[in-house]
Amino acid sequence: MMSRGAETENFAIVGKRVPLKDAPEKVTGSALFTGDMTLPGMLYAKVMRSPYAHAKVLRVDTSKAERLPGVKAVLSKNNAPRKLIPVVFDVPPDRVAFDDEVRFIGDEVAAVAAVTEEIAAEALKLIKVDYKELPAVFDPEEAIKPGAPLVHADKPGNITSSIKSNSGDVEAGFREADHVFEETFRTSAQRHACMETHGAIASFDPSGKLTVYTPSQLALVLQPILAEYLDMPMSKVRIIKPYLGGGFGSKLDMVVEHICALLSKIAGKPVKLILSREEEFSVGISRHACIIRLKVGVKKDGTITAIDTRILSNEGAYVYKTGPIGLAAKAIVLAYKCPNSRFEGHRVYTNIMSAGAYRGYGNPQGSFAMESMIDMIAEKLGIDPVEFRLKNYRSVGDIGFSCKPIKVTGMAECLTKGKEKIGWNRRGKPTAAEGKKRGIGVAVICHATGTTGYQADYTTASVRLNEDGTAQVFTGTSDLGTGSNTTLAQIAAEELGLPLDAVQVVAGDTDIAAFDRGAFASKTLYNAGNAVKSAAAKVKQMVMAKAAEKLGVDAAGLDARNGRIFAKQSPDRGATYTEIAKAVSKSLGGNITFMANALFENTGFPEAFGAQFAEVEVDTETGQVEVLKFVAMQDNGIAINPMVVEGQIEGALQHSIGYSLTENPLTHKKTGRMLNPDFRNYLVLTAVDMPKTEVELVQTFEPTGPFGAKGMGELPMVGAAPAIANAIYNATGARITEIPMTPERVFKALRGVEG
Amino acid sequence: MRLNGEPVEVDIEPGAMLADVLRNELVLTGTKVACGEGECGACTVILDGKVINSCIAPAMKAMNKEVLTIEGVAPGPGKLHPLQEAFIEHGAVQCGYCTPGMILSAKALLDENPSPTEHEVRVGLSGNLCRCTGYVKIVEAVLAAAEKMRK
Repeated sequence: MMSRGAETENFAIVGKRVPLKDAPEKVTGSALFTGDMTLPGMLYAKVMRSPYAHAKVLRVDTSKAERLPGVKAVLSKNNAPRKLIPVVFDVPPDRVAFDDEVRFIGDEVAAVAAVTEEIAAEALKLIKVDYKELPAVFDPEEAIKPGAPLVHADKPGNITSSIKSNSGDVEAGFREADHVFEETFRTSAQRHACMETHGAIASFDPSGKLTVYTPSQLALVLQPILAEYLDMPMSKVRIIKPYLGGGFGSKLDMVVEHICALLSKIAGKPVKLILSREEEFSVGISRHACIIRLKVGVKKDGTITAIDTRILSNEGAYVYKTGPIGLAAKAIVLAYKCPNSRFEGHRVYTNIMSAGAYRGYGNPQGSFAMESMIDMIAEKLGIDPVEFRLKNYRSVGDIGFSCKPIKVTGMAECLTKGKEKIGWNRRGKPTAAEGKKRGIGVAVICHATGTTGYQADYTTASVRLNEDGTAQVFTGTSDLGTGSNTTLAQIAAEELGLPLDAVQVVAGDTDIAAFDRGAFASKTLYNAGNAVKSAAAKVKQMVMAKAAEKLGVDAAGLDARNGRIFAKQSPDRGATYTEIAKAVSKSLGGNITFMANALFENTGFPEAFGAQFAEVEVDTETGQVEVLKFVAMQDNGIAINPMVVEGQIEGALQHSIGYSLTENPLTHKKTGRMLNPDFRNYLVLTAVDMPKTEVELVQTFEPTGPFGAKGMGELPMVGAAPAIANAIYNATGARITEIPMTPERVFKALRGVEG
Repeated sequence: MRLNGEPVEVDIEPGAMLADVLRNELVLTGTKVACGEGECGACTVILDGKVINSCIAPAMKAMNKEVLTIEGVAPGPGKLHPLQEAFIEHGAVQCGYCTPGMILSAKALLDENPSPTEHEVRVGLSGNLCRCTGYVKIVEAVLAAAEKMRK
């Protein structure tokens, strides 16, 4: 795999395949995650959970549990705050902790903190709860029917909110069309299945200041949420993010931190709660399962004249995020050129585990529908699927996912190069063995950088240059294993002209970090990188002014590289950063630091683009689908660290191919119980399951990004499902419209039965 | 037991699992527990030369045996095993949670088969789940380490 980016050839450190700065701690096992930490006197918490999908909690008797030796705190509706839990980012809160009503199997009923985990588990058994079971509903299409049981009494029709939007005249568009296609697509509530489950440790110090250790993707947003919930001033709440073992959107919400804090307050000791794997699968956060009804009108020549879509998203029992339905719609109405479109979306409550943010955030769902539909259209019209996309996908000047005109796109190159790599010309010439059929499919992908305006999108950074020529970079963003602590250091080092080793990124502690709204929406590098670059530029200016004095050269004539400041015209004339900084310090009679802040607000939300190709082999006897080869072409601007970018893409494919074929969260139709809350039965791809992958970066230059970069984390998650569905169709003539495309579904589709 | 080359004695509850003893009594938290059911490999350690899922292995099983955890992989202070170096250089580490188990599985594989094919590496690591890397750079790193170790 190779990457381009001529612009970075002259850079010292940007564009280089630099290993992660914290990799040594990780490979030696010395990196501490929340579950690895202990505090003196720490207690262990366990949560008692509802066995019913929907019930009134009439009475909770914790008296026996409280008397068990070793139990130091018990929480239930008898003593928990009767207030709505604030939700991250403007979603109307709808949940009271340890409420009078439980709304999904696993909903919290009580919690205990004890000196050992075993005692805490024993204590749970001693808690007596009187439930009154209520009717429950698990399917969104059932939940919106009149007379369906209400998940929340104050939400008629189980709809938490709806969106409608229109562009042009959809009815006229359909009249203009030569062909109208209509299909319904269904997607699953995929689980993030991070290797590290949710957990936290809460501890109050003698002054009443609360410190919470938690693997949060947004410590600086969690801080006000938790402070508000506990009625504490923010200045007395400190969130520290240790190493984080996978996020992908699951660690954006307050899942256990408030429980630990409440128990700790009662017990007067630190309290640790780590979710078990079963809890993580069944009571955490999932992707939104969606039902997408899609109708597209086209002319014979492939011009799309109308797009009409209705989307239902299954929110589960409590709402964490409202955005996915909107982004699913964008993937349908803002992808291809078409002046007439209509979208109607409803977010529906059901009595299952809540959905929230998960890498892609509605885009994988919407793209599965649209990219499958495009292939259906291309086939009917006799147009090659790649050619159709080259002709019809939005380009420079068209409104993109950012809701602004696209400025730069590498989509065409992604398609044409990717086509070569997968061997697109082999389509229709299957060479598979008896009982097997091979096919190749494509999907194009797009994802904007940042929140695209549904929330304010800004971040701050500080850079502090020490007198010995080393620097600290303060950022609020969170390194989830995504490498931001390294790539931000690369940006600062490049801007300042320091070696990478001299730059240390400081993050993950609300007491000392800069402000950031969180590591999500593919904006970490773009937002934080821009802020870091600006702050570094300011510091550089200060240093250059001093260096100019010392070297007797105009500041504009100076440059810096690898820790040395020199005159551009005569590079021999120079001094090291250390020499300059120490000289300044000495001349002022003491220690000096050069420090600057910067704020960056994302207003452009530049889109990243790509094309993904899958070659599959379908076993027509069993319905099993094997992905033989997967090509991922991606334009996310300049790669600050190509090794990190490739790693992100490869990792996303493990999720997205699993989403497409094997990750099948099963809910019991009658009880609402999750039937496979373990790795034995919820199948994520292993090393031997991953197909051969080829990743190539098409590096365009994003003028608003730090050194030309734009966001990329979610984009590669988007294309596998439709690319594989299209490949299966190419192989067998069977169109699968529900994911995961399990062997059962493929088998039924092959035999023409409604699957 | 002999742990990372040193004799160690520890008092344990009879039903304790090896992972818990390593992490709690012996405060060696490099070995991770991610599922508690022996399904994900994060707790992989090497017992008498063979990989085991320590989260479901009774600690008593290790009595008088040799145990290697991630903390014992590096040959000495300030040094790294070729596998650890390769993981760093090849970008095989992202969040790091699966990394200790992954390295131990890789070590056991290379100890038994110093010249594995790519497929053999994938099979050897198939008991270690990773949600960050897609395994691509992990496999590259193991093959690179194998080559280096053969020299």
